[in-house]
Amino acid sequence: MTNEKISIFPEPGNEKKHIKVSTIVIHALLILLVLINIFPLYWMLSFSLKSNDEIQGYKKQSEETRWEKIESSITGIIGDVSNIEWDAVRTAAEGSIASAVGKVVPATEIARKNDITSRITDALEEKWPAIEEAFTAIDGIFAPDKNDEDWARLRAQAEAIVNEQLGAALILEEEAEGTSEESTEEAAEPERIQFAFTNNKWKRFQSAVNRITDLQNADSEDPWSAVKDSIANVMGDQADSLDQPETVYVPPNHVGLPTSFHWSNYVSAMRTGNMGQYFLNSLIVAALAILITLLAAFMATYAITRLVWKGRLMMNKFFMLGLTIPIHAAIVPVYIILSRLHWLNTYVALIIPYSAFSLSMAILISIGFMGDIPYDLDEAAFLDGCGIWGIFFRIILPLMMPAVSTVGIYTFLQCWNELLFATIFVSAGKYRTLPVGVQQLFGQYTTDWGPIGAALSIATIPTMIVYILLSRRIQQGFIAGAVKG
Amino acid sequence: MKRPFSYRLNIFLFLLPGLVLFLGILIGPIVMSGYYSLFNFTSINDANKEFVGLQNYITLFSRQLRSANTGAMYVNDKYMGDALGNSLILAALSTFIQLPLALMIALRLGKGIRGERAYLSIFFMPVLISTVIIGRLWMNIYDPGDAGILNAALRGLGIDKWLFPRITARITSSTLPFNGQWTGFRETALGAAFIPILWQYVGYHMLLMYAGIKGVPLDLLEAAQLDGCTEGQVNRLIIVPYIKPILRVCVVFAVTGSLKSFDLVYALMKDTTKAELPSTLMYKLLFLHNQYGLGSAIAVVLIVLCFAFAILIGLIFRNRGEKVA
Repeated sequence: MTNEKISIFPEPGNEKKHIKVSTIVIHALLILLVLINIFPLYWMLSFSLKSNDEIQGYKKQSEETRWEKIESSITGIIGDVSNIEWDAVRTAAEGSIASAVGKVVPATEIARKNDITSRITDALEEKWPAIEEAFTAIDGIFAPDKNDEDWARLRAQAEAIVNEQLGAALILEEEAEGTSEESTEEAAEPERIQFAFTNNKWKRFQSAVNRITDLQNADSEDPWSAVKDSIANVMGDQADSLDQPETVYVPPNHVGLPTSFHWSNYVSAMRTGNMGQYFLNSLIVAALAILITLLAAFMATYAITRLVWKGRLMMNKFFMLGLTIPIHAAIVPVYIILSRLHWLNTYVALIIPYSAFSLSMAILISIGFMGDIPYDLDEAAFLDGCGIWGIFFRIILPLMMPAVSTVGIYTFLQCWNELLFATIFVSAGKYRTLPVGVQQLFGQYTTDWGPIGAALSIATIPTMIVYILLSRRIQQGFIAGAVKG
Repeated sequence: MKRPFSYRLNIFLFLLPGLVLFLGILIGPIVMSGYYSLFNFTSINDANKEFVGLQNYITLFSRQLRSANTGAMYVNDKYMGDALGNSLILAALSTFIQLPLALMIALRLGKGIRGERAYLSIFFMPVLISTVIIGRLWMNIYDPGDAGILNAALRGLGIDKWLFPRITARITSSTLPFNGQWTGFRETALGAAFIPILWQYVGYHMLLMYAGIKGVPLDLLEAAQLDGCTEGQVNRLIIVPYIKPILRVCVVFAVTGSLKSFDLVYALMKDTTKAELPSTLMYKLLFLHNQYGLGSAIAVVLIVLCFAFAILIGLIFRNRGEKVA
């Protein structure tokens, strides 16, 4: 027998290993579910403390003007010319100037490619011509023997190169001597043109940069304003933008913690949103509804379980009808009754219906608890001269304290979260409960999420605290309600 | 044995508070709802209600819904058939997606795993949050702008370029392109409403099932193990049949809950017509159009359906129970 038993269960060692792997997977899945579960709540809390800019994303002016950016990037490049790696300089310059001018070639993308030819060909494809012109212009400006003629020649040269690049290599101006020859010659062999052309261009850029350095060292004139002018010249209409700070879009901070805590959201939820008042209202309504429910349910339960009379089972079933009746069923007649009594927009308008709709469940739970109280106690009390009421108030009620918490919690949650009755019966006025209050924030803040998040948090946090303190009890309340139903 | 009058009086007095509440707020009004549903009246102080018989019910279920007193045709977004269909879809989704998911997790937790209490408590947490708050929160999650986290995530991952045109292609109710307005189209709004419901209530069902699984006698499980049952067999042949009464409660809750559902859709959408439910339709007819007769008719339909489904589900579960036994 013992041998058999051992063979049925897996070897202890094997079992352990097996469990280890699978439990890790299961825990990982469960933790994932936990994260999914609590993420919306975390998100709510986090945006309740963020500024609206941080929630929605916003546009901000960068501190430097665009020109300052270009300047600093060029300075960065030619800062120490002595041991420069020109390849790196080119990459960086291409990237930085391109992005500064607004024709975006991210430096990283260029740097990623090792082959210089293909890299430049790529860059040339669309974005290079503009930069090319800028370089040419720089070139021209810093030519030592600069005069109008040179300028025209350089312009022509630049144009020629750009034209060539655009596939219009043959339309060249005759005056541009050296270049035109070169271009026509190379037009026959497109691949070689490109290579020679890029080399050529690179040389010119290099020399331009060198010249900038020279000028800087010589201190003869302000080199930067000259460079700026030349770039502005190339940019034409867009030149003004060089002097303006760049507008940067700062995307919303979705999941991160707030960068600064905007407690003012809570202040405005309390003041403008009136959440404090609604919170109090909810508390009053729930407390009184619980009180009425408990009393009515305990008394009815006592009559049903402890007093012997015909029809008490029928009565029990009758009360249990209430478990399936939807709250909507009563809405029109109750509304009419309340309005005839002029009770709309008062606490009573909610307390009474809430008590009524919690009653069935309360009785159901109470029956279980009251059944646990020994009947001997009643008899003993009766023999000691206690009447029915005496037994109820002196013996049963004190012993029903565990039921008080279960029924109370259940009723509390029903009242605290209920919307339909609350929104209809106390639509206006200062008697609104939290759900109605939250709902009417719709109109007040449609785009300003901070106060909305704050209002949602105000309505949620107390329930969560109560839950953390009483989680087992609360769960038992729900189980008791459902399992017996 | 004849009891003295004072004893019977006391019984009556004990029952009185409960009966007053119960009859005054539940039973009486239900009867009154049935009565009101046979009339056409637009003011609650209107003594001269016009008796229209079953006309309200016919009006409710006809696609061309006419106002009973002016004869003006409502657009068919106040059509009860659609609303009922939506709530039944919601009920089916809850039953066939939410409950199996809850059962899977409950089975895993119920058979003992380190930290099962902590997991359970966290999963149950959303149940305690007001549905309005959840609706409002998910409205923000679904926000089509930059701030809405769902669309931000889709855009960040580049899924939107693939997904949104496909959704747009399926949208027939509108010519607008879909660009993250999850609650703005008939085709997506109901699904968008279901996700928060799933999120909120999966923990509730899980808790009930977990409690049921904890109640399965250990002997039974050990015996099954000795007989060489695999884990799947234990789940299928022992645990699930054992907790059948609880599963029935869960199904009833899921179905009637979907029929009654109001808060979430009301809070989630500015325009509830995209995912109209009977209760939101009732709310509109009652308190925006003052159609108290029509509203009462919806209330009656809801009561009848809730009871009918509760009984039907009870029958389904009973039959299956007999087959297994």
